Amino acid sequence: MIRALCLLVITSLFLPMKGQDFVSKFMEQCSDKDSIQCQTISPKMMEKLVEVQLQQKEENNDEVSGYLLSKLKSARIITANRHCEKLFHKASQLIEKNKNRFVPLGNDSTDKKNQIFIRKHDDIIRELVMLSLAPENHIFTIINFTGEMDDEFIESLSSGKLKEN
Amino acid sequence: MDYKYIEQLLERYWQCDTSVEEEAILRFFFSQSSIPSYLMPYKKLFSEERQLQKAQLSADFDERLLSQIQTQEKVKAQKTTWTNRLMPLYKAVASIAIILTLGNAAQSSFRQADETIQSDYNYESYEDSYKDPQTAYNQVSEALQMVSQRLSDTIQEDTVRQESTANKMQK
Repeated sequence: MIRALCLLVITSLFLPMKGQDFVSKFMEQCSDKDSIQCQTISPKMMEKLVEVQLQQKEENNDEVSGYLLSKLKSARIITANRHCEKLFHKASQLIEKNKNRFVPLGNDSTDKKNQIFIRKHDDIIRELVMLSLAPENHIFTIINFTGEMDDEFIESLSSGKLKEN
Repeated sequence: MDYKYIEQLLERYWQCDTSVEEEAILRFFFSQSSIPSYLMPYKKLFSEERQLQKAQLSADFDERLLSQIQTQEKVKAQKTTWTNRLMPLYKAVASIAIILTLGNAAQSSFRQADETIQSDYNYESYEDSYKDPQTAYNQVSEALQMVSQRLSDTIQEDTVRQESTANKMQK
């Protein structure tokens, strides 16, 4: 009886729990958080960004950014300029550990220091992760987008039409 | 001998009209040895009634009864543990837990149907790094640029690789 109760309580505790994005998982595993900078743009802020983009659209005539932003729900960016290679290795290991979840985009890429992974669900890209290591500049970066991204989103992103600010 | 009086008494006896004294007369009559043959069938009835009235408890009845009661197995008092005492409470808590669990499951499934994306990640735990939307916009744009650059490079690599493969095939 007591065992059944404990099981139920544990189940009820875990039921409302939601999934974690890649950056959250990475931060959980990182012991040396002082050397890492994590910037988060929440869904609420992302909605405001669309408004900012609409204002800038009139000035820049940039439609691609608006479309891309409309597909994003959140963005998290990790940067580090210490222990970069170690952190990159850790991030790669985490991707490898979750290889059922994340699929590499551009499988045959020779550039192993810049990799993009996506997580699809119902044919929609729910998460996009980019791992980047620039050893010459001692910069390690993780870019983690969540949202409802599709093939059109990837095409727009890779078209080179995205205007720089 | 005239038995008319006895016959009348019998008749009244069947109709339940006889008094206690009259019934005593009937019992006395039927206790005798000389009874006419047509009244013999009723002898047994009144003689048994007389015998039943004479029946008494034997002298050792109380003693036997008491000894039987004493030899009966003593009922052992059951020990009630705290677990047993709290069992109704456990059951109530379990019922509530089941209801809450099912409620949670139902609620989350409804939410999933409505907001597939929101339920996918724990956005509630996100703390914005920027209060100014313009700064946040610049940061996201920069990140998009980086990803865009990387994707363009990948496509270029693929194109070059495809072209070189095609050239090799032609040669």
